[in-house]
Amino acid sequence: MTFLSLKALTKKYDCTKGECVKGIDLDVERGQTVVLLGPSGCGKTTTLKMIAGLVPANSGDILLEGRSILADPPEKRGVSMVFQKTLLFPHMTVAQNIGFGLKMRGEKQGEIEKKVNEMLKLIKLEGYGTRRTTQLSGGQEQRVSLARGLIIEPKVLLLDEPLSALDAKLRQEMRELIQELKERFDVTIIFVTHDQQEAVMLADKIALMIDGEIVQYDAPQAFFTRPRTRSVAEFFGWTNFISAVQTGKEVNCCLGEFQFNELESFNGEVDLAIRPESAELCGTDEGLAATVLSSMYMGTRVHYVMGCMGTQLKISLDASKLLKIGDTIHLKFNQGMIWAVRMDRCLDEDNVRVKDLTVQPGLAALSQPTKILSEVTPTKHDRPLQ
Amino acid sequence: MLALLYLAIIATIVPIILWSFSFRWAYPSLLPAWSLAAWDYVFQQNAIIVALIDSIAVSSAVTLFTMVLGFTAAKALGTREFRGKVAVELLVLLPAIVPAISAVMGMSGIFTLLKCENTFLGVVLAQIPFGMPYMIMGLASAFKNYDMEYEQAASTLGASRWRTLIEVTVPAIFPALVVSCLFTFVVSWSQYLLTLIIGGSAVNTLPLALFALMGSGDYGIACAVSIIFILPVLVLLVLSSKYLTTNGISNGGVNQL
Repeated sequence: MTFLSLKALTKKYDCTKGECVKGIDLDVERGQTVVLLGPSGCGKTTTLKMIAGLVPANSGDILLEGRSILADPPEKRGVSMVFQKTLLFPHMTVAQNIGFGLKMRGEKQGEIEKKVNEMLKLIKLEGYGTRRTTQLSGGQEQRVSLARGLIIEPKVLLLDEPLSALDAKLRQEMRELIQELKERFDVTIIFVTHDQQEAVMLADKIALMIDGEIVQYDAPQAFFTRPRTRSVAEFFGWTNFISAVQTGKEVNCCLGEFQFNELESFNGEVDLAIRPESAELCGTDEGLAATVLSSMYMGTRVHYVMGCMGTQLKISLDASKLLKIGDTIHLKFNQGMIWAVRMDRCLDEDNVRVKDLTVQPGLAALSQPTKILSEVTPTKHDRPLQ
Repeated sequence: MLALLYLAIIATIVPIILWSFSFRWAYPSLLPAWSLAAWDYVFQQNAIIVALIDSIAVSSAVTLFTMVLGFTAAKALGTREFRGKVAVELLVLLPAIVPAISAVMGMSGIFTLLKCENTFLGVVLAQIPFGMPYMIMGLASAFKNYDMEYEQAASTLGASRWRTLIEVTVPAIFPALVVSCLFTFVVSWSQYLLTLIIGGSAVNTLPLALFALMGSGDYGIACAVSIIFILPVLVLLVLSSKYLTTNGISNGGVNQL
């Protein structure tokens, strides 16, 4: 039995503000950390609030341990939520804030104190119990907020971008603390964020939400190796998309022909997604010729835009050898960082391809393990984006 | 600073105190001719003490009802946007703008039909709308700075709606609640016309007694009753003074972020 399961959960209210959830399905196993990842306004917070019972769903169902909790009020769901704003009650001390849930449950004062002190130790705020919440720093406040949600030992802990107001160092500390507390309390976590890096670090599984739909639900690694659609790929830092034609497990485009071991069938037309790190310099007898069009120095790496086989590629190379604008070099590609994706809405307008590049004939050669085609048919680059 | 303010308030009362202990205070004497006759009269006459008790009862009841009714309205006005909000706000403010006398005749007729003319309940009901502007506008401004997500956080931590109200919402806006109640109480406390017309002779509050004595021309007694009239309000003012700062009113005590 699935621990927590969302079935065709739907919320329609103000779609212009992106507060729509379009019939999503999601299964979460006990003890897992699932990250709902997506750009702002994709409906992830609304989904979280529906699980918490703070926003009523229009249709669909939420099953917790096999039982529908849709009719239960928030306080009876066994689900607690930590918000982006810490929302510590300003008229209570730190200890009273942490113990709030226990007090609501009617536990004895002595018992509450014991648990709160234990909790203060875990979040490294020993001795802060009697302080006012206004005397805490941002990071401390968020730790108290987390402790307050965890102390009631909820079945599911919902975290709504709890780290977004913190600086980089505090975020790291909080991530570690969340991991540590999760192990200790053996709690199932649903974590909402728009930060792809954060998602990858925390998640057992990531559900990528775009426009109120879950477009891919997978282990974090899959998003870097096997994105399903173009918008998923874009969200995870794939920068190059070349229109291509799929025939079975072969994909054909202006860069050549690519062979994949396993590939979903997408009705012929696909985008070939290429990560910026996939290319490296090679000798002139192999690979593909490319011309440097622009470059941006990033310290350890340099980001180039290169013209290659009539298309533009965004390529990231290490900074050991700097190339100048106008240099012509040869690139070979690591096929582990190339993947065919279904074409869908383009997230990033920057990725609209430029079509008036001079095609350099006769240099069509790709590094292995792709099959090499000596004659490459240039594909249309002016296909309108969906 | 606050002490100076208190001193200034008390200074205005000094002549009244002196008057209340006088037999006669006429030009050119600097101090009055002393007498305890006025205070004798006040404590011998049951009427003044009864009026004090009536006043406290009426104003407390008005404040309580206004608070309960006004709280939800203020919360809606402070935290939500809806069509016709400005119209509702204007309607709420109306009793503070329009003089009571223009409404009281009509009210009297309705109250006779409702059979609560000349009753304690009638007086309280009649005064509630005139306390509402102070209660609702005071609380609404606190609710404007109140984050409804506090309540959401409380509910996911296992607090029912009532517990949330008592443990989270009320403490968060408590200073504004105290101040709004104080204003409402004071408005009701000095209400003359409504009590006179709706209450008939059945409800006899301090302002009624005071007006009657002022008319009689015995300033000693009038001043003694005035002191009794001022004293409870002054006590309330002192008790709630720590909430009376602008900070307390506008922020409702929610001072973080």
